[in-house]
Amino acid sequence: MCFWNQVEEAGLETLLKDRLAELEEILQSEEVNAIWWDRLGLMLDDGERRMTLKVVRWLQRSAKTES
Amino acid sequence: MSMAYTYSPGQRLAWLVERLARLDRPYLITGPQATYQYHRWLTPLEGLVTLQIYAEEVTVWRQAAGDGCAVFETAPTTAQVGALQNAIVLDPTLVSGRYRRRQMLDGLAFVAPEDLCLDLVERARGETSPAEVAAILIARRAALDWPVLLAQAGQRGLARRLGVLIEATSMELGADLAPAWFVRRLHRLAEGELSGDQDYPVVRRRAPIETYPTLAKRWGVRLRLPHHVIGKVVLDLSAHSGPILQSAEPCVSGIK
Repeated sequence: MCFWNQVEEAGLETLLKDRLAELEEILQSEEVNAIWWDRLGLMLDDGERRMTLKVVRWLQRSAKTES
Repeated sequence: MSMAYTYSPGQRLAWLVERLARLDRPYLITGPQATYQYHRWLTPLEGLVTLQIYAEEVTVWRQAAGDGCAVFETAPTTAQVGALQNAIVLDPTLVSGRYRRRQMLDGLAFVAPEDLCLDLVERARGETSPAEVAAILIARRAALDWPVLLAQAGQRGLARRLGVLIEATSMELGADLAPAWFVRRLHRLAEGELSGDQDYPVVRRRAPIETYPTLAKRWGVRLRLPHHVIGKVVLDLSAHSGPILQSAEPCVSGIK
């Protein structure tokens, strides 16, 4: 069973979509550095930030096509 | 999440001990290492330490570099630190009062938990800092110097934010986190503080507004803190140490 079907079955679709949208917003703003600094004492590397954003967007796109 | 029952900062930071002894200058371990020392909740990166030092001693502290250890004067990135065995980040904002209040653990000087809590209360640019404040207060509530926390919160103009966090944590705990005298006096200090027009913590607009409306009103704070933030701390710490739903310890220094 594909990921988004499992999410839907668990009743988590809206929550997960909201969370992914929030993650996208965080990753696109300075907040990501604030979070990394507060939590780990360093900044997220730009390459890693872009890669994470790519994965988040891929998940969002797959939700649209699957659901 | 990893919980270390036999945690020893001296062993964990063995790579740092010799360097600190060689330089023999005042410092405080702050940041995630200090936070973990007090709450044993979210683990820090092992090879990375933030040291608060006196501004005029930055040159001296540069000498801590070498043998696989780098010294940064601005926040490094994950890639920079990932390539190293160990790293020190210098924060040249140490002041004598904070240094006097330090806690010595395994021969290492840590920022006092009261100062650390207020640093986190003040920073709060996301949900991590308030959660870590709650974790420290829960884990250290029996040993915390509540009068120092009160005095410093007043001096730093953080009574409103600290108050709302303490009462939100109490609500999630289902028990009083802080002594009643402390909350009373903190609230008196809060009434003397200007009510801020900024959200607390500073988060995206998506975050729910005033999830603790009564508390937010009582403390005059525009609170944007979803219940799950502190709820998760309570859940994690309960799983680690058993129920933590007993009443807070009585006043530590007899102040009423």
